[in-house]
Amino acid sequence: MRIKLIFYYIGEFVLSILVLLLFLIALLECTVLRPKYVLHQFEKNNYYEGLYKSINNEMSNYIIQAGLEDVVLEDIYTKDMVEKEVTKMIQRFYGNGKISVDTKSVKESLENNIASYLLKNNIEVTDQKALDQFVDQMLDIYEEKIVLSKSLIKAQNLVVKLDFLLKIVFVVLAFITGVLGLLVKYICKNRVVAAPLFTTGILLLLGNYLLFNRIDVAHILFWNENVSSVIQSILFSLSNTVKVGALILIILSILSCFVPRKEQVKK
Amino acid sequence: MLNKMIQIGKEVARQIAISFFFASLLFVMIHFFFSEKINTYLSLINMMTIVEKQVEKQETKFDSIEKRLVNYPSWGSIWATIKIPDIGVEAPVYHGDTLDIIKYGVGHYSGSYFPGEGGTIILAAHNSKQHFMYLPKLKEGAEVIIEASYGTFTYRLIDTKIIGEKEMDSLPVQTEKEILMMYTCYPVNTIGHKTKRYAVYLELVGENHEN
Repeated sequence: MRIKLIFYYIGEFVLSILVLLLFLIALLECTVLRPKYVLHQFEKNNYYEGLYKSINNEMSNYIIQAGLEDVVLEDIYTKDMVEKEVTKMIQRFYGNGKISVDTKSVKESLENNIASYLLKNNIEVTDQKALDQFVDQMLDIYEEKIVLSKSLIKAQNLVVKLDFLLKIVFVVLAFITGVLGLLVKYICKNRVVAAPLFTTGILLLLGNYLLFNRIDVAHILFWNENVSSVIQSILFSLSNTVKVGALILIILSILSCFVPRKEQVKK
Repeated sequence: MLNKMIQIGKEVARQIAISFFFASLLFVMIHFFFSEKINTYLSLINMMTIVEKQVEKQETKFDSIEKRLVNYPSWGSIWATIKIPDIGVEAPVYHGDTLDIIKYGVGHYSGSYFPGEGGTIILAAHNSKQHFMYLPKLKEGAEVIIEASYGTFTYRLIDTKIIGEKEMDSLPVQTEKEILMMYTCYPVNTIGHKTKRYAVYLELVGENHEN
C-alpha cells in the first residue's frame, strides 16, 4: 500500500508538470503561433493606419533632398493595399512561404506622379539615374516598412520549426498524460485530476503575477511605436488568457472533488 | 447529507494541500534551474522599456573654465540659431540630425561637440532654399554665426569638399581645434536621389559668452 501511495504522489506530481506544459504549448499554439490571432491584434491596435502613416512619413523625409514635393507621393498606395500586403506577409510567414511585397503598382503610380510633377513645373531631368535611384529608394522604404525587417525573414524558419516541434511535443505529452493518468487511477484507485489541475492553476497565477510585476509592459518599446503597441497588446492578452485559464483549471479541480470515488487507497 | 458535504470539504482541502506542496516544489525547481536565464531575459526585456519623462525646458549653460556645457539640450530640441549672411540663411539648430529632425531645420550630430567646447561641431541640413541649398555658393572667408543661449560664436570658411554619402568620416571628431563642419546633399539643384554630400569647413574666429 505504501508503494502505491508513493507511486500515486509521484504520478500526480509528474501529471502536474505535464498539464502545465500542455497548457503553455496550447497557449502559444492558439495565440502567437496562429496567423489569425496576430492579424486580429494588428486590426485591434490600428496597426495598418499607423504603418500607412509611418511609410508616408519615412518617404517624405527623402522628398526635400530629392528636389521634389510631397505631391509626388499622393495616392501611390492606399491603406487597403498596405493591409492586404501585411495580411499576405503574415500568412506566408507562418505558412513557410516566400515573403515578398508587390511594389509594381506603387512604382507605376510614383513614376506617373513624378512625370506629371516635372511636366507641370517645367523641370528637365539631367540625371535620370538619380531619379531612378530615388524611385528605388521609395520602393525599398515601402517594402521594408511592410516586412518590418530582414531579420524577420531569418526568424521565419525558426518559428515554422518551433510550431511544428511544439505540435509534435503536444501530441506526445497528451498521450503520456493520458496513459499516466489511467495508470495512476487504475493502480492507486485514487482521484487523479484534481491536484494536477489545481497545481497548474496556482503556478500559472503565480508565474503571471511575478513576470508581469517585473516587466513594464505598458512602456515596452520595440522597433517603433506602432509595433510596440501590438506587442504590448499581445502580452496583455496572454496575461489575461493565463489568468482566465488558471481560474478555469482551479474551478475544474474543485468540481472534480464532487465526483464520488468508488474505491480509495487503504492506508 | 452533512456528512457527505464534510467529506467533500475534506477532499477539497486534501487536494489543495497536495497541490500547494506540488506547486511549491515545482516553483523551487524552476527557480533553482532557470532563475538565472529568466532574470537575463527579464532584464533584456526591461532594457526595451522607456519611461516617459517630462523634460523641463531649461536653458543650456556653459562652464567657461572647464570649456564644456553644464547641461545638454534634450534630443530634438532647438538650442541655437544659425545665421549665414552671404546666402541669407537664418534657421533653428536642433539637437540630433535624423531625417525626422532635419525636416524642420538644421540638425546637430549628437556625437560631435557644441560651440565653445573646442572640438568638431557637425551640422547637417536639407538642400532646401531655407537651409543649405546655397552652401556651394559660399566662398573662402564667408562667415557663419551660431547664436546659442550661452553665447554667440563666429566661424570663417576655410575649406570645402564633395564627399560620398558613405564617407562621412571625412572629418573625424577631434578636440585639437574648434572646427565647424556643415554639409548637405549634393548636387543641390538636380532631381533624384543624392549620393554625394557638399561639406564646408569653418574655423572659430570669435566667441562672446553671455554667462
